Amino acid sequence: MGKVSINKSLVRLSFTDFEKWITKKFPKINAKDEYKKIGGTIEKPKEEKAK
Amino acid sequence: MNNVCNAFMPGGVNADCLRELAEVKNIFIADKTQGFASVIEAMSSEAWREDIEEDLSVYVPQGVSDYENTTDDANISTLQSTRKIITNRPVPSIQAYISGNFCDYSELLGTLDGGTYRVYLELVDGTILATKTSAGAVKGMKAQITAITKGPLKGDIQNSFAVYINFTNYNEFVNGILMKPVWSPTDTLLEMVPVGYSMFITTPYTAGDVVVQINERCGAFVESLAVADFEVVDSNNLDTAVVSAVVDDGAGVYTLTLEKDTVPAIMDAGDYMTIRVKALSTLIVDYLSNRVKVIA
Repeated sequence: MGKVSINKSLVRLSFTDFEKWITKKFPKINAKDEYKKIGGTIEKPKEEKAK
Repeated sequence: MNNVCNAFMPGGVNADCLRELAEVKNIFIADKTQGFASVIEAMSSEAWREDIEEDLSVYVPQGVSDYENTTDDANISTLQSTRKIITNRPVPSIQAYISGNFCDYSELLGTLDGGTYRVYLELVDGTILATKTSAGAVKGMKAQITAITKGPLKGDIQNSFAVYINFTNYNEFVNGILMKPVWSPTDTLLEMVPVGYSMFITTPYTAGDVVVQINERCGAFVESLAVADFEVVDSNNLDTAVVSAVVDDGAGVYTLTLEKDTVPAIMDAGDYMTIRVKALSTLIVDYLSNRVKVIA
């Protein structure tokens, strides 16, 4: 596969929705890395927040 | 009261200036809403720069290799074998032959299709002919412009790229202004025009993706474009129409994912997006392609 670039406007999606989209489109790409590249923040799981 | 029978005397002459109106060297095509607030602004290359390379509201071809003034002669009628009268003021028109190349002319054929624009005329003595409004603004003369090809010519090949310019307002020539900037118009302004790319579809839209080939105009393939270099300029009123992703497959081939809606979805049958390459560095458009309509 050639060089992939993702539109930064997809940061409007929650990480969960983004992950669904990118896994379907580009299965070999790391969803977390790409989400951060477009300016997204991945929320920590609730149990970690409670600590 | 408006007295139509007034016969005013012309006022004054500059006896130190004996200079005919020079021939046309180039035409600067502007959006019909484009203009400059004043003569001083119109004489500033910085004002032109912003319109050419940021707003994309002025287009500068490489020049005019030849042209014909196709303005009709005024109608002269004779009143029952007595005196003659003039019955009209024909609006000027020009058939211009643009200097350039096949690929740039293809872009003109695809865009100059009888729409209304404003036209500044650069003359061979380095002046720019425009029109001045009653508020002191400076604009190009309003015109309907159509590019029409006759295919390959036999002889006179410098006339290969014809553009028909039919001005629409005689009074804009009556209120004409001839400006002589300190800079050379075509030489200065041509450098500001974005580099033109040619884009065409190689694989139609399927499952959200369209594959395109992108080259320099009549030149080599273009490498290293990314998603930020593409723009959706039009669609059938789709919500959130974007180029979601781009895969650079190398050798100028790009797979573009075109999707709509807040949660990305592929276009439905009958939907369309019109896209182009518009590669920017800050506000300046460095590279610009033709528009391509992608129909689902």
